[in-house]
Amino acid sequence: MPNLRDIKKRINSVESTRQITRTMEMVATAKIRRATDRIVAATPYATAMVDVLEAIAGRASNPESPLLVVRSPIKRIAVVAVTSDRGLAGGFNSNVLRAVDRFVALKRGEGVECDVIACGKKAIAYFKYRKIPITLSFRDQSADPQLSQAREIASLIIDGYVKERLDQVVVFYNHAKNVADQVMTSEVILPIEKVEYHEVGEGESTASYSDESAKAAAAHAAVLVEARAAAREVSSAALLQGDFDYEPSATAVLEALLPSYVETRVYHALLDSAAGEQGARRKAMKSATDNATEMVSTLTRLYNRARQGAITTEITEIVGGAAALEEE
Amino acid sequence: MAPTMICDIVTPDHLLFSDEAEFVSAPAAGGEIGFMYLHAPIMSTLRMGEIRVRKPDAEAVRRFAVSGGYIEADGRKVVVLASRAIEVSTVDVEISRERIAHNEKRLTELSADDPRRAFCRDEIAWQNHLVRLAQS
Repeated sequence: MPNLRDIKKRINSVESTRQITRTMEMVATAKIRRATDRIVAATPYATAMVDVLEAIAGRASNPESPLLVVRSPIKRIAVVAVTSDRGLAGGFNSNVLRAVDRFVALKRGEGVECDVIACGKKAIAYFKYRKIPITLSFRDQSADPQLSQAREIASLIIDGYVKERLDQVVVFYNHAKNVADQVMTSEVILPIEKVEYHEVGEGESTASYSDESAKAAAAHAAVLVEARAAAREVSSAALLQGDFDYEPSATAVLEALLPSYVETRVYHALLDSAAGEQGARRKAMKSATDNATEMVSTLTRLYNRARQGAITTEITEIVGGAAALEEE
Repeated sequence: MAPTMICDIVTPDHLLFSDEAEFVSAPAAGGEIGFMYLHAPIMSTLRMGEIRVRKPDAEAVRRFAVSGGYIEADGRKVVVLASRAIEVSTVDVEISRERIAHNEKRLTELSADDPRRAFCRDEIAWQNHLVRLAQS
């Protein structure tokens, strides 16, 4: 028969853990909102940029920007791994890190060298432990990515690519498909093969739980889609119609915009990952809270049974004692 | 009152300005261009410089520091997509000076062929530009 006091102690400990995970869940929910706000704010620029590049691409004759040149054979690849600074977010970081690790091992097997750019403490720690050299690293910015960080990464990879030190640049990050789901995504951002805007937070919210916060977050995702539509309208209204004078020339405008486009892609990967991080943490903390609740109820049942057992034993002893006295 | 156009100034992280304007001037690739209602459609890259926007009702001209990106105008609307942009009146000279000092320090720390030098030099040029505009 387990000790009553020991069970009580365990119940208390699980309850306080549950308090913590529940708080973290709520904090993550609040941060999802902040992260999606940032994406909304960055959307007009990204959509306008893509629209304009698409519009000019048709007019530009033989752009010669080195960023468009596809090289083969590939001898050196830069891999940008976007992770978070903090853990307790389920498989969020390990998904990206495992994929990068596999990719690097595969490429090394083919005789291709890989440079790793690590964003987030988790990536830094992972590669350090595996003795994979890191070219450039960022910490303490994963929840709040700054444009300057994207700019620094972009200037490094563009410089490397133009000077032919790098032949390809791949970004690995978690794409926040919706508030509940993150999809590990890898994108080749250099050379620029086609111009596209990776939609963020789009699609039906397949939230597997229907509490209030999930609804709020889903509503937020809907706002995001609307904002994007509005932004597209803003930029395309002015475009495409009529003959534009290009100064200095269509080709020159296109080439001038390509570096900004790379920067935008990197910035979006960072923002997307930041939103995904909070979503993943919320999900992880939600299931931790659920598990704790289940454990508390199991332990409480055990506690009551033990208590009942103790009472029964006591009564039996008293009755037995009384019976023994009567017989005398 | 002259007819007005819509003017949007967008940076990678937010929509900086969106309002009606009577007159907009911008530092285009080939030199300063002034835009008014029904300006011929044009699309140009931007140099580092200053965008001035005059709103129909206000006397004061709003000034924005910009660098990089492009401007596109079709006569009814002017859209500026700038890599960096900030309204001149919100520039904090102290912070700019700090950023300059910080990046100059980094430049001395980085090796001569480090690709990040270009990034630091860009940042210094931009912050110097801000200080210059804020004080003019």
